[in-house]
Amino acid sequence: MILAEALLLGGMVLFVGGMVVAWTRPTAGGVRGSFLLGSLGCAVAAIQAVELLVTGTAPSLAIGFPGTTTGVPLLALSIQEDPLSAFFLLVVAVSGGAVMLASVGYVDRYVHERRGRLAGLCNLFLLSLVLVCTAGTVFLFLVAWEGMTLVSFLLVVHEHHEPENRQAGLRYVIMSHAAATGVIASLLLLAVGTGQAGWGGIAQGTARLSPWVRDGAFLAALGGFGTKAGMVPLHVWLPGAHPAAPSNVSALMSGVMVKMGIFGLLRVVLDLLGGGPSWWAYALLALGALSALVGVLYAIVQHDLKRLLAFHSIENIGIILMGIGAGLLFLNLGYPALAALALAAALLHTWNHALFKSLLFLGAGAAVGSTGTRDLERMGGLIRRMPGVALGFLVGSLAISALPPFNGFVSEWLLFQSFFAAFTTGSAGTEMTFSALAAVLALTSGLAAYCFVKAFGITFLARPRTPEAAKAAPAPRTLVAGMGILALFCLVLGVAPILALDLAGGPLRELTGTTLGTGVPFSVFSSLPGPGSVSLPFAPGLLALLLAGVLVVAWAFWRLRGAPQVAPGPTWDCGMDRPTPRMEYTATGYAQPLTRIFRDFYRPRDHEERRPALQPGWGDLSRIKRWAREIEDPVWRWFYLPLSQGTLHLARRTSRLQSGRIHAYLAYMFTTLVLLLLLVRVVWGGTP
Amino acid sequence: MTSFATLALDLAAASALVTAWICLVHRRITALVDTYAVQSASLAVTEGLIAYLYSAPDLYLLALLTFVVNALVLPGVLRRVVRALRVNRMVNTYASVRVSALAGLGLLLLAILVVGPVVPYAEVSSAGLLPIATAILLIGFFLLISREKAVTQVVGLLVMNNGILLAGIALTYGLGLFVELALAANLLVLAIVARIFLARMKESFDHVDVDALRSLEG
Repeated sequence: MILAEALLLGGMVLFVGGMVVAWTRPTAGGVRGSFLLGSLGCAVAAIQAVELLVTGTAPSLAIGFPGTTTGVPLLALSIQEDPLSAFFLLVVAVSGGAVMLASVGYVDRYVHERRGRLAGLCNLFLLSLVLVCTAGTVFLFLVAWEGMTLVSFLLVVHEHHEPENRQAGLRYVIMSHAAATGVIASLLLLAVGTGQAGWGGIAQGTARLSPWVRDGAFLAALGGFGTKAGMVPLHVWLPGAHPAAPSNVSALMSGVMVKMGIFGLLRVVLDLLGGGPSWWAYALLALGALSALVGVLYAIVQHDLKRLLAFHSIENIGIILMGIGAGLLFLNLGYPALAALALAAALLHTWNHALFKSLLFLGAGAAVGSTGTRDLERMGGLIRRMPGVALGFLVGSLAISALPPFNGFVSEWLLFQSFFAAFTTGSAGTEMTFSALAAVLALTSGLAAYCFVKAFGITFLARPRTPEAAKAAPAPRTLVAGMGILALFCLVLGVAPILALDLAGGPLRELTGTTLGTGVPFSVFSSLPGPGSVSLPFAPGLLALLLAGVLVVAWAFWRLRGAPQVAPGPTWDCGMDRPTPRMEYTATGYAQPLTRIFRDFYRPRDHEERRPALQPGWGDLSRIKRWAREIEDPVWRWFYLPLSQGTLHLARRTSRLQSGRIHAYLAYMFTTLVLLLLLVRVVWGGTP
Repeated sequence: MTSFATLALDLAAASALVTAWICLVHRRITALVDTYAVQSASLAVTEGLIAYLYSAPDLYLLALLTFVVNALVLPGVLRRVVRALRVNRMVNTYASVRVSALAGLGLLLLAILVVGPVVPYAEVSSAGLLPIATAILLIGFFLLISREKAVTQVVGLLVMNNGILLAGIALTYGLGLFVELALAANLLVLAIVARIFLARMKESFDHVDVDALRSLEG
């Protein structure tokens, strides 16, 4: 008992220590020490989370002023963990710890200004994330939530000399601000409605609330937490903010912070409200499917590496939302075991995405830092300059493309299983919904794989496209180490997902009342537990063994036959010239077939620069000198642009009231007074 | 005796109302200030009569105070301002005199319509003082917004203040002496501030037309 509290407090003290070190000694050594302290803090927090999930000992700390619990109950502050908090704390701590370790070298090598500030803010950021996870009362949660938003804003605008970054930061802080009103409204509705401040107390009282209040709380939570998670159409801050931030911060934001939106949704919708009418579930499913498709389709056409990864975050959030929506629907239909399966997929995918997205952002950070550009068209050949980073990025790419034996495959496969299980419910509407959703999920996974062939291939393979890429410095060792830890987790959770499922058992029981594989023992090499006592037809451990066996056999075969003779020769150059990097596949070219298929969706704007034909009859091709394709987010054009222009228009109309004449202002008051008097006369008939 | 006093109270209150209305139709600033003085004097008489009728000795003091401050001192200050600043003696209006006069009648109607039903609940009910007070207040407000010059606006504000004073008495037999004293002191301060303000405006812009503030417009 004491141990859990000591661990949690210890982790927090380490973060504070990291902050103090970074701000008092902003030297290279101080910054390194600060990141290491943060990494250590994450490790301690992770141990505490695992302890809770395995043994069930929860730390409980009341940050009390005397009388707060009785005097102003809604302002009570306490740290109180339940399995759901602990699971997300684990997600935060594992990715956070690896990223902080990687930051030691990353910041040392690639960040040239205000490193102390960056390190201190990163520690503060993790502290706020840990508090968001572990807050036991509404008020502390809201404080931590706002703190997290503010600190992440400061991190986004760390390189504020670039106007682009400032704009992205502004957009981020405005949207977060709007989202915070949703979060605050939702939680206060529930807290005031039930008269409780702690999660447990609220959860017991929500059943008595009127349906209007419950719907209101759901919608406010969907808007507020959905914005933080990057759900379409509230995602527009995300593709700007992630590229603007330094890459280690992008890894934290995309890998970890975005998950807090999922955490909040699960907390409010399933834990506090305990599920709801089926339209909630359909709303989540629809928004999830939309996010998944829009995210991956936009990712494909990006040629900014970090923007591409940011759009993939939207895609994966969509997949997680589909899992939550499916769970909610199954609960509503009375199938808690199926709900547990869908939510297990969602929880697992949350953790998996935190792992491989942090990994990918760290890899992107190394590539971007050493070439000085985020443009894919200016990279290439980095695998020879930084093999460790390339390997890590490859593992991340395979995981996010949902290929075995990595973790992304397992969670998406589980989600498919839950969708297919919907056919046992025997309702035609549900069956059709889930057929469509399975198709969306399949398309999404396929397109993600397509996209990561491009992301990995254009960045790391072929020949360097620019001198900077050719001269890229090898990545610092701690960066590779941080990536290594994350890659290892991706592999372990892909080979032995039973470990993660065991840890997710507590939260699942908390959310659905049941868990996977009840009463049947499962081991690393057995098939995965399914709903109830059923087991699913997939044994990832065996599959991994099989794959390893194939590799061993192939290697033995290769050794027995003797190494094949490799004769290097020139690449065939179509008879034109010596091959140059300009002849390589470009990112835009690679995405061309899809841009063509989804032309109506993308509405690309092509820019051509022409010159006179070299030879008469050579056709159009030789006349195009430069060619560029521009694709902008239609959500921005159709939703946000009219919104902002309408607001400006209204503001301009209103500003005409501001004549600057004192008489006019007095006349407004006079008119208001007279009208109010008349209103009193009309409405109350003059009787007071 | 009492019935005569009641009649006199009605007359004094009506005089306060009519003089307030006359403020709307004046074209010369000095005449406006004089009318304000008469209005304040009527108010003082009203207060004195209420004090007599309802045997509230506090109100005698208040009546005296109103007479001295509102009827003598403030008009005096205003006259000196007009002389010292050599303000154009004409009242410039946004609403013509005719429209103003009609608007004044409309505001009286509104006051009777809205406040009339409340009268039974007021403390001094016989004279129907509350609608009169409200009408004076509204007329003062209208004066404030429909006149261009700062001096005339100050008069509008003072008329409003008289209305508020009367309303306060009508509702509560007087707001309590100390509150009244504070109010009177406030008025004096207001007058002094207005004087300084006008002098500064005259220095800086060479006119006291509030309209010139429009140049501040973004």
